[in-house]
Amino acid sequence: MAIIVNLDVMLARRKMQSKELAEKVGITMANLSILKTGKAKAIRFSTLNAICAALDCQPGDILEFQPDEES
Amino acid sequence: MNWNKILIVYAKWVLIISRFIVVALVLLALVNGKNLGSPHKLEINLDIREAEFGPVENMISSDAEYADRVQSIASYGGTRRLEIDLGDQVFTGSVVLMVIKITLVVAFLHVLLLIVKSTERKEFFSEGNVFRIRLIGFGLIGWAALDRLFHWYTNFLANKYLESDYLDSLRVSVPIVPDIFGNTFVIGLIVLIVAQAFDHGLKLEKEQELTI
Repeated sequence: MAIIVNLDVMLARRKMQSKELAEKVGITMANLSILKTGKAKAIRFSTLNAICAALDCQPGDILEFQPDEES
Repeated sequence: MNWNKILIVYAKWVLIISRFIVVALVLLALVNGKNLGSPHKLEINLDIREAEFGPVENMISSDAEYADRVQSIASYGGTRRLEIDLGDQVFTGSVVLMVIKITLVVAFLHVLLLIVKSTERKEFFSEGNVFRIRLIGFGLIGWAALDRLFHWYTNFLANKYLESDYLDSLRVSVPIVPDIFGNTFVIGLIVLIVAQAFDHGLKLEKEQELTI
């Protein structure tokens, strides 16, 4: 996947725990784990909006594009 | 190319060819006239245990005018096949039924082809397909209703010719119309299209599960 989720980095910067973020965003720990491990196929704008609000950051701080090695 | 794609391409070509074959055969039969059979004659199968109810001949009307028009054309197992010459009484009915059924068969093949084509384009879940699948459903119901109506009509006519309580076992055959809804190949094709839809739906569900 060419899109990297840098949620761990932002959580560390904000000194926030995954559980606290999950509660603030309103998603389960399992779904947050899927997001953090890059297994997610898509992210809703509403979820992205809630994460950005909780972490006080921009979408670009969480998502990063890295071209595939093949391409 | 995976099995699903092979199946879709195969189904598409079978339907395209079937559509042309059905139209060509119907046109040929209408032009030739031979395959039309005898639309004014009613062919009936009587499933009667003769040992129990006596010979079928006893069930034919005692009125000579009607009895002369009944002819036994075949006998196999416990079934007797009779042919009744109904004159023009049934002609209009059978021709109208034939035309409606041919229209239904061609429309059904066309609609099925459109569904297969949409599956090929990965656009199975569309409003158009919902409409088409409903159309097939109404077509099936309509087909069964037509058969039932024609069955009642011919039973009503055959009552004059046969004195029997077993007229419910009458089986009416309409010439040159392929029984497409009873064809196991077509049913198999519909089941495979449904399987294809489920496969597509499963992928969508998995994607939905991984959408956070």
